[in-house]
Amino acid sequence: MTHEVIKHLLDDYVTGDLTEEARPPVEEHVIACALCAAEVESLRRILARAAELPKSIDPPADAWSNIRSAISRDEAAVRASSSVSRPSIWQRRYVLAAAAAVLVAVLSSAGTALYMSGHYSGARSNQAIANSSSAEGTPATLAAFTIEENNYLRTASMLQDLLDQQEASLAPATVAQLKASLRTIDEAILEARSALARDPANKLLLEMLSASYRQKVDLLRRTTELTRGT
Amino acid sequence: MGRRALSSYVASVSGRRLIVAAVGLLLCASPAAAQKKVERKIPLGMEGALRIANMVGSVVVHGWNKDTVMVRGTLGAGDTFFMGGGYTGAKMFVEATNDRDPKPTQLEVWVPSRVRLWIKTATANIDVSDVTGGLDLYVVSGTIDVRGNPRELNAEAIDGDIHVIGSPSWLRAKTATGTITFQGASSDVGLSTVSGPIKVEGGVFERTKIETVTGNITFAGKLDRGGTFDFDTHSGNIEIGIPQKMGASISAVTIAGTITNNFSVTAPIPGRFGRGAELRMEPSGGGARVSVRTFKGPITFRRTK
Repeated sequence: MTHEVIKHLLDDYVTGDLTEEARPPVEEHVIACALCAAEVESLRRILARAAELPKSIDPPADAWSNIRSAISRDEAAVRASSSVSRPSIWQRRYVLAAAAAVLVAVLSSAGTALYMSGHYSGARSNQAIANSSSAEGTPATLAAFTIEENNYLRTASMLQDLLDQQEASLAPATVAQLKASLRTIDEAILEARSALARDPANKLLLEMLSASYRQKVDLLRRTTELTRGT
Repeated sequence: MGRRALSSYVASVSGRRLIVAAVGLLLCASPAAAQKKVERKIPLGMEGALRIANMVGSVVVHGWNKDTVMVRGTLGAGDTFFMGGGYTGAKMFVEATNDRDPKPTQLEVWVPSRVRLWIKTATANIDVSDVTGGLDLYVVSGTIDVRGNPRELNAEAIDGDIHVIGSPSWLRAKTATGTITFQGASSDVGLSTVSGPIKVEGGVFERTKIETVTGNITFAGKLDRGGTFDFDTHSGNIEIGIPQKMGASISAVTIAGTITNNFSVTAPIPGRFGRGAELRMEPSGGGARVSVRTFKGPITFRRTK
């Protein structure tokens, strides 16, 4: 078998899907051929990194307790507001402060993650969003969203790293199109985030933001998969 | 002109003609010499699996009613074609002499119509017709064209277009900057682009989800009464055409975009967050659930026949 033929069998070789007859010649070639050895190494790295991706991601240890207490506080506030005696200004301030704290935590962690990812142009704007404390909405929803957002950011960052390594195998025109598409999604994310800072209770915005993140991760994943072996 | 001179002239003209003819023949022959024809056949079960990889050029696939895969192709000079496998699964690909600069390969393949087909290319266009099995089609920047009624169709591109004519029971199509067009009907559709437009029209649809970031969405089809329809974009235009007497529960929301209702007399109201617009209507007493959402793109509803 020639180098070109074996190249097409490396996927199956790495995943152990080669037949018993096909395996020895491929193995011999990989030992002798530096290019194929590098490809095998790269495939193994990708598989290892993919295996590292959690099947499900548990939230940070204190996230749910924060959400629970925020919900309890909300419920307490609703109960109190419906009862004859109105809550004291300190109680209301406490609820608002908790909500604001959660929102600031949500936005600042997202801003940090975006900044750390190094592939996002809107880090400064996010800082401004993070500093905004106009939250009056649903801290539980926001807290749940931030977990989802961090997952997206982490996954997008890993996929972007993989793609950077494989960029040479794509045509320059395709790379340009891809970058333009990622910019388009990032702009949509930034716009939705800015709107969310003004309208923290807007569930529709959260869903739109989620959809944009999902699109970004999906595009990166698709390109990474398509680039392999092309 | 004397007899000798005439014969000499004729000889010289004939000689020149011969040279011209020879050069012409060489010119005609050179592309043929640079390319190589292939024609192969292998048996494959009617519901077998086939994988095709061809980076540049084209892959044209026809479904037929035989348990055989037949391929005819034109390969670049020095390239090698490989095909092999058993009755339940087979694979074909092209080995390029220069991996960095592969020459176009044109493949025309006849496959058992109920085959499970997987095709991957870089810039090669994919054209599949009359396959009723499952299709997984991947291109980077080529175009995907599918005609017929595959059981399942998954088509993915980065900047290539995807065109489907037919009635796949299950359809998923994704591209970033390319266009998606779907003419037909399906019980389960999911279409997605970043900036490419999506246009869907045809028969009855059930579960339909269409999303873009900036790409325009145009939908004109019949809504199954129990169906769910979701149209989402950040800033693309959305135009929904619904038959006049179709029962539906329609909800449209924008954060900053406008809503134009040319379908009924129900007027949109200002958005609940102080911007944008909202519209709810239940033509013909409700039915299919339709949700249309944009950040700032305009939404238009119109009647269709």
